[in-house]
Formats: sequence, C-alpha cells, structure tokens
Amino acid sequence: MKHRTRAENMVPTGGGDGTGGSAGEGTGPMSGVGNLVGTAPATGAESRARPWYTAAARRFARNPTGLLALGCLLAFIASAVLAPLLAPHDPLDISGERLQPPSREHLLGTDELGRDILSRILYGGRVSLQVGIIAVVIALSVGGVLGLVAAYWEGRLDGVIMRVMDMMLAFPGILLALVIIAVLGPSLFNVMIAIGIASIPAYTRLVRGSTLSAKQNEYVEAARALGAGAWRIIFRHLVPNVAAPVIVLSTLGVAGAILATAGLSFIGLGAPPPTPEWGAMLATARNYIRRAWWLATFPGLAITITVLVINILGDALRDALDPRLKS
Amino acid sequence: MLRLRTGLRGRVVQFGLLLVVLALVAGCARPAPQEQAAPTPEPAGPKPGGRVVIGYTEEPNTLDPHKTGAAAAWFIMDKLGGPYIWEDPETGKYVPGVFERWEASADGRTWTLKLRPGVKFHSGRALTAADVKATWDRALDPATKTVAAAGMLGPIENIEVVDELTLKVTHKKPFGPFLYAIAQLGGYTHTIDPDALARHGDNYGRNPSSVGPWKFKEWVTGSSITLVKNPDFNWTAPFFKNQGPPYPDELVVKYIPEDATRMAALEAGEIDIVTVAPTEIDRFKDDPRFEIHSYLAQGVNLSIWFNTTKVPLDDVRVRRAINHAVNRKAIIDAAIEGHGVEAHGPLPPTIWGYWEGVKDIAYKLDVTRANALLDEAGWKMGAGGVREKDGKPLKLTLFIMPLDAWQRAAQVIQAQLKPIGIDVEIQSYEWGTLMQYLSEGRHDMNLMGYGYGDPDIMYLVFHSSQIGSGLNWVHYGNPELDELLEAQRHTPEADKRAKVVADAQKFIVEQALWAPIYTQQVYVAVNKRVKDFRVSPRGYWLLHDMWVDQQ
Repeated sequence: MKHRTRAENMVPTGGGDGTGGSAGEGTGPMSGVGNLVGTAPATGAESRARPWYTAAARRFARNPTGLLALGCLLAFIASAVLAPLLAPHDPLDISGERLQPPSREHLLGTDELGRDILSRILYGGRVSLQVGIIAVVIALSVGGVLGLVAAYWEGRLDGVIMRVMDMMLAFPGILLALVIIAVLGPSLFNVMIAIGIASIPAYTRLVRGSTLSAKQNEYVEAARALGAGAWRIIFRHLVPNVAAPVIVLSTLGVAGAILATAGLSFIGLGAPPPTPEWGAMLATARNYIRRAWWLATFPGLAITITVLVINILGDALRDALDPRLKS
Repeated sequence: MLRLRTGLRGRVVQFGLLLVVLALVAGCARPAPQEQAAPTPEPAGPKPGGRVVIGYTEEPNTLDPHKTGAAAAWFIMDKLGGPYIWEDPETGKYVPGVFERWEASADGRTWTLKLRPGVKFHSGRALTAADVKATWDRALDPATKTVAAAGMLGPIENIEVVDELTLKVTHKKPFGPFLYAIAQLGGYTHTIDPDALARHGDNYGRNPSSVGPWKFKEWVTGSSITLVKNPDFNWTAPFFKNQGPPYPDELVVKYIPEDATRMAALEAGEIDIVTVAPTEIDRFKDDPRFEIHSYLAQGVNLSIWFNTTKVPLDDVRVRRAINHAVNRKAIIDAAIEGHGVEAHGPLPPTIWGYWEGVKDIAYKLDVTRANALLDEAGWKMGAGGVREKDGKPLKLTLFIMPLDAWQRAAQVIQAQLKPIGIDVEIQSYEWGTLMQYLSEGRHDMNLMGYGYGDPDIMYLVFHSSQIGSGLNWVHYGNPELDELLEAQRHTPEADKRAKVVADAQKFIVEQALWAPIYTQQVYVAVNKRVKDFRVSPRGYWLLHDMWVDQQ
C-alpha cells in the first residue's frame, strides 16, 4: 500500500524535472519512459479507492474455513499466553499420582511422573508459539534481506547469495537444523536459531523471485528516475509489493517450525527436561503408549491441531492475498 | 459457513478420534495366546540345531578384549573366550574351566594355574600356557593402552610359563580380586588366538578368535553379531548337564536401542531372550508365551555422584543434605516402576563384602535435617526459594545420559531438591562426551550406575589414582580411604578383607561421596521355544544347557 502512496506523492515533486508531462497518458501501452512513469499515479488512483488489504480482507472474510482457522489460532494463542491463569496445576509439580487416566481432578490425566498433562500442554503451547514465531522472524529477516539484495543488485552478488542458498537447500531442512544443533548444543534457544537458519533459503528464493518481477514495474523505474536511493526503493516500493506471498510463507513457516521443534525435542535435541514441550512429552510417552494412551494422545493432538489450523489459515491467506492462484 | 465449520470440526474430531483409536489398537495389539500350545507332547530332551536371538540395547565398540570396557563387548567376548574358571551357581564356588586347577602360594602373591589338556582354539590349534601369557602380557603392556583388563588382572609382576600347560602369575602384592577377573570377568581377560591377532592386526576387534563355546561368524554394524557353535568344545563347567558343544547352531545378538521396539521384537518372535525394560515388566510378567527370570542386579544401578572438588559439594554437609532430601522410593517408582531396592551405600547386598551396618548409618529421608545442614553450611534461603551464600545462588548441574530411566530419575531428583532450596539444572550428554566432561570435572553432580561383582569396584571409583583417567568422577582423593581401598585389594583372607571392605563402605557413606539411589531388579524374558536357559543368582546367564524346541 505504502509504495503507491509514495509513488503518487513523488510524481508532483518530481514533476519539476520534466517527466511530469507525460503523467496524463495514464494506462497507455508501455512503450516509453513517459508511459512507465505514467502508470504509477494510475495504480495509485486505483489503490486509493480500494487498498489491496481491504480487498484481501474482504476475500478472507468470505472464506469460512479460514475464519474458523483464525479463530482457533487466536484461541490457541490466548491459551498459551494465559497459561499461568488457565492451568489447573503447576506443570512441574510431581506430587500427583503417576499415570492417572483423565479425571475431574486431572482433565487429561497425569504423566509418568505424576504431572498434570493439561497444564503441561498449556505451558507447552507457550514454547511452541515462541519457537514458531522467533524461528520465522530469524528466517524472514535474514532470508528476506538477502533476497531483496540479490534481486535488486543482481549480477555477481546475486550469484553468490543464491549459490549459497542452493547449497543450504541441498540439505533437507531438518538435517541442516540437526547439524546446527550438534554444533551449538541442544537447547530451546538453539532450536529456534537452527530452525530459523534452516528455513532461510526458502524466504530468500521467494523474496528474490517476487522482487525481480516487482522490479519490472514502471513505478520502480519512475522512482529511480526521480533519484530515489536503492534502500528507499527497496523498502518503500519493493517490500510492500512482495509482502503478500511472504505473509503466506511465514504463516506456513510457523507451523513448520512448531513441527520441527517437536521433532527435535522428540529425539532429545530440543527442550531439556523438565520443560513442558509437546515433542518432548510425546518422546517420553512412547514408552507408555500401551499402558497409558492419554500420555501420547493429547500432546499429539495439540501438535496436530495447531499445525493443521495454521496451515489452513495459511492456505486461506494465500487465497485472499493472491486471487490469481485460486484457479 | 455454518455447514463448513461443522464440516471442518467434524474432520478434526474424526482425526482426533483416529489418533485415539490408533493408540487403543496399539494397546490391544497383543495377539491372543496360542491356543494349541497345550496338547503337544513333552519333548524327550535337548535337541541340537536352531538359532537363538538375544536382544541387546547397545552395540560394542570392539571385540578386542583389551580395547574396551563396555558391558556389551564383554557379553560377546564371554561367549567367544569362555571363562577360565566358572562360578557354580548353587554353591558360589569356583569350578574348573580352561584352568583345571589354581593354587595360591603361601604368601598369596603367586598363583599356579594348570590348563586343562585338549583345549583348542577355534582354528584347531591346541592352547598352551604360552598363549595365555602372551595375551596377558599384551593386556599389561602400556603400549596396548588397555581399558579394563589390566586393572582387573591386578599389579602383576611376572608371568612365567612353567611347562606347556602350567603358568605362574606373581603379583607385586597379594591380589584378592584375581580369581574374579579370570572367572566372571573372563570376557575381558580371555586368551586371544595369537595367529588371528597377527593376521588381523588392528582389525582383530572385528575378527576375534579364541577357545570358547561360540565362534565368531559375522558383525553387521548397527544391527547384529552372529556367533556359531564351536563343535569341538568340550570343557564346560561340571554343573551343566550338557558337557559337549552348545546345542543351537547359531547365537545372534541383535542391537535394538529403543525400549519399545526391542519389546515389540520380542513379542513378534524376532528375538528370543531380552532384558525387559522396567516400564514393560508388568505387561510381560504374566505372559504365558515367555518365561521370566529375575534377579537383583550386582551393582548400584543409580546414584548421584558429587564432584567433591567444587563449591558447594566440597562441603560434606551439603552432600549429606542432598542424601537426606532424596526420596529414594519415589525415584524407584518413577524411574523403574518400583522394580528395585533402595541403595544406601556403594555396594548392594548382592555383592560379596556388603556391610550390613550401612543400614544403620544410612541417610534417611529427612527434609528438616537437610534444611538444617544447609543452614549450617551457610546456605541461607533466598528470594525465589533458592538458597544463597555470599550472594551466590545454590545452583547445581546434574549431568546425565539420555536414557529413559535416568531422565525420569533426574526430573524427580530436581523436583525433590527444589523444596530445600537447591536449583538443579539437568544436562544430558551421550556416553563419550559425558565421560570426558566427568573426567574433566565440569559437572557438579552426575547420575551414574555400575554393574560389578566384586567390592574392588570401590577402588576403581574412589581411589585417588583413578582421578582423571579412571572412573573417580567424584574427584575424591583421601589417603585414609586410599589405604583402605588398597588394603582390600591385597588381603587374600576373606574374613580380613571383609573387615577392610566394611571400613571402606563406612568411610564412603560417612563422607557422602554419593547419594546412592537404587539397585535394580532385572527381569529377563525368554521365549518358551528356547528351553533350559538359566540365570545364576549373581545374574550370570548360563547358556550352555540352552536348546531350541523347533516344533
């Protein structure tokens, strides 16, 4: 949205240097510099009437599955944030009876050390949420910047960045994360870093691709002609234009990161005991799967539902943000 | 919209139900006991042939007896080499194996060992006294960098070949544990076929050859080791009914680290004999398809070891406080489902030399006393429920291995020490890394267990000479204790040695070098198609009468 307002504002400012004359030509065929500049205000005019996010939001509101997913996710976030208020017990308290099936006292039963599973799942949500978001922020900030830089300057820099990304892509993401944790040592913090780093290439490629195509737009040319600096063009004009696919990828990325954390904790490389983490809970539960089904079932359901909900939301966002993909 | 929402919710619920159902199905997966088992006529007796598969948790690093201290390696080498002398499971007395006779000199320093005539290597060549000497010389040679065997053989001064079948071993001082080293620990000290060693060199550990009832056939890395019977074997112990070679054609040891997978393999009939994981014991105990053998382990399978060189565990009062604060019963319940007995000293009742007096001086569960001891040591309760001294919080690391039972135990210990104001941080490392860190003394506390049949284990764990390279991970060096531990090694008279061993235990408990937790009750499940498998009261598996009912 921002880039269009900026472009629009720039035309009058820039009009002084002579290019303003062709502004009136509007949406004519792209055959000359004048035309290129001319498209910018035209797009601006359209966006003034209907900003892209309004349309997207309207499309999203028409998607009931997406709304339901959003509702579920908000409920999940709320339960994680409010875990200390909602949890009926201390998640680390081992004074309860061991391996009790679900009861009124322990709604989802107790685990192999007598801890309340409901409380552990609620607190585990905090861990998952935290890892999911932080890992994506790491991947997005590093991968995004690299993608923008590579696409904007192209040439040798682009080649170097993208070959490094190709090398990282050659490893399956979880394997790369394993290697990073092996180097850094197992801890929750390192898991965030590892998953974040492992997902960098996906963001770099996406951002680079979108930026390359956004760069072809006339308003970029116009901004450059008007003397705007590289970083100004990147952040004012290109970033908002590649935001839509990145939002979708990030949403799905959160789900992937939650799943990866659970997987790493399952094999003992994630949250150290006694941290209530869903994957770690599953890992200990596997020894009791025949005797106490509730140990594995509820953390498993928590992971499944959370990941499912975020994925559905991601799909709905893609439908809303990029209607061309809908077919 | 409403329709879709219910549709989605329905799908989610269905999926949830599916997971639950899967869990339930897994829970019910045990096949019904075979109905037709009853009418088969009782077989006449042992028949040769067939294959027995043993399930084992971890793979050995090598089968070179001088390059390993791993129990997994011993388990194979014991079958390859066979003990030099056997311990009679009924009487506990040593009976002939490779050695027909063994006599100590009057001063207890020299052992005269007489080989049984006619013992042959797997290659067919006859075993001589010179071969035994060559093997032990190799073990004692510093260049070999022997891990376990040299310490077990004791301070040997000289090995002399008297004649083809007679050997004289002279120790610098009388060495009590020597017979144990050539009996139950024979896996580590057995005779290596010198021709095989010359042929394979550094690769001998993957191509071992000796004189025992089983011959090495194949080692598939990460999967299994296969042994075949030695048809010429004829020198087994008199207490076996079978005096010839083993009955089964093959003995396979399969490596399955995961508890649940290993137990599933037992149920599926992929393995015949396995030590049952504690969490699964109740399920297998009354299963008619398996015969269960049970014994109390020889060793203290779980203790908290204190790094006595580091503040605050250099203060005996803090170590005693922790000893008073741990609820052993709760740890046994959580870690091994109650299948064990509380330990209060360095030795369990199953090891010779166990001192009854340990019970009287044991640290009983007493949180008030624990708090008082910490107060006395200057650690005052601070904000947030963590004790402090000179502005430093009472935070201790607890190093463990990522074993299921240890992880459960560690979390219970962490929770039990919290009320007395100790903040415990659990750090989990693989065996190699853990050993290195413990030797370097990076830890405050660690969990550790041992299995050993002789009180000499105290020497290996508490003697000052074992700091750094050995197992003295409590980093404790005390001349008084050193003297006791040396004395018990060099006192051959049983009653005198018992007295010294008791004094050592008293010293160790009073100094609270460990917080001993439990000795485990071991359960071995055997598929009933395998007959006449026995376990000695000391937990030694007696395989020589074993045969496979192939009907």
